[in-house]
Amino acid sequence: MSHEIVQLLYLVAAVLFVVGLKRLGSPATARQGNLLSGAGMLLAIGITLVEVGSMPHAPGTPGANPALVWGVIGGGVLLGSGLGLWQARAVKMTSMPQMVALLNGFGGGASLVVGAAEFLKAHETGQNIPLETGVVMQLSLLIGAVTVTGSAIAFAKLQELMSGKAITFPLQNPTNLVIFLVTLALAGWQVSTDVPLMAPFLGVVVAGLVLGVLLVIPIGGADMPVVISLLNSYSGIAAAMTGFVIDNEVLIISGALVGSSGIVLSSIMW
Amino acid sequence: MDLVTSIVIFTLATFLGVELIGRVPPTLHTPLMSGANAVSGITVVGALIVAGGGYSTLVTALGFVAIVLAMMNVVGGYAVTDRMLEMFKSKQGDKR
Repeated sequence: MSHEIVQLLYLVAAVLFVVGLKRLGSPATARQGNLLSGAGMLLAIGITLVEVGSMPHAPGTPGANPALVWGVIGGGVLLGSGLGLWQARAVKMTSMPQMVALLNGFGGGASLVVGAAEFLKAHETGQNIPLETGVVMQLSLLIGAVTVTGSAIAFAKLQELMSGKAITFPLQNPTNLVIFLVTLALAGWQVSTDVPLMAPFLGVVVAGLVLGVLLVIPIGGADMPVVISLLNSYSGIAAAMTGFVIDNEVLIISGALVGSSGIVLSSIMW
Repeated sequence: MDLVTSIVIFTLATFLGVELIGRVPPTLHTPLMSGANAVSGITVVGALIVAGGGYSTLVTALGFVAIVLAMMNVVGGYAVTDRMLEMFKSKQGDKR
């Protein structure tokens, strides 16, 4: 498939997400909307697989062995789909909010890992990351990391694995602010260097993971659905940032859609 | 694709997302949140590209992890949303 056809099919997938999300907002059309959105996802995955099949590979890399690449992809898709389907079937109807939190954490984790893989690719060769890619890469790592631990805490609170009460400590907000500023400084350090550095990369990821915990622990169990909706919005933004890093429109469009609709939904629920 | 085009697309899609959520009845809040969560599994596209690049052993292994996580988000997300809406529909039926 030519690059143009791939891009146009990604656009079809994005339109299906838009129409699907719109229809999810009305009782009569909600189920159909979810199916349309699912069809868009299937299409996006299918096109990506076709695109992966035509990617060039340097000799001596794992990519030069097609059986290995397709084994990794096929194995990952089957394992992830199986686990996802099993969880969706096993969960009780009363546990839905924490289920969404858990799944959201997985999505944020995937964006974090993709961002990390892109960083390590550049780090292995010591090649310079362009400024704009560097900036969005730091954002995808940071937001992905916040989503992972934030969702995990939201899940733990609702599942009563930890106390659902708000956990507060003295100087909580100043502490969060200091950690956030340190994160910005680390990200700025990474972006301003000529070669990708391991220390600020790990620093941004760890700081993001810590921030995710600190931002959700002071919130009580009753307000958790609003937090989950907000974290859902974050995972969308993380996906959009990943889209900027790997230069992929469907990620940018869908991530932005989820990012903004999640914030609106949180404010409606509040 | 150049950076400016990407920023234009991102900005317009952000405003479109705001417009998509109109007056949603409270019973649909959780399914809508769950449905939107499934869409954020689109990051699977990035995971597939990372794994498919076969760049190095470490990067390919990370690609595998990302695919598993993202597919759990996608398949679990759509399946769980459908379960919620299925219940919603039968509830409406009972009322009639």
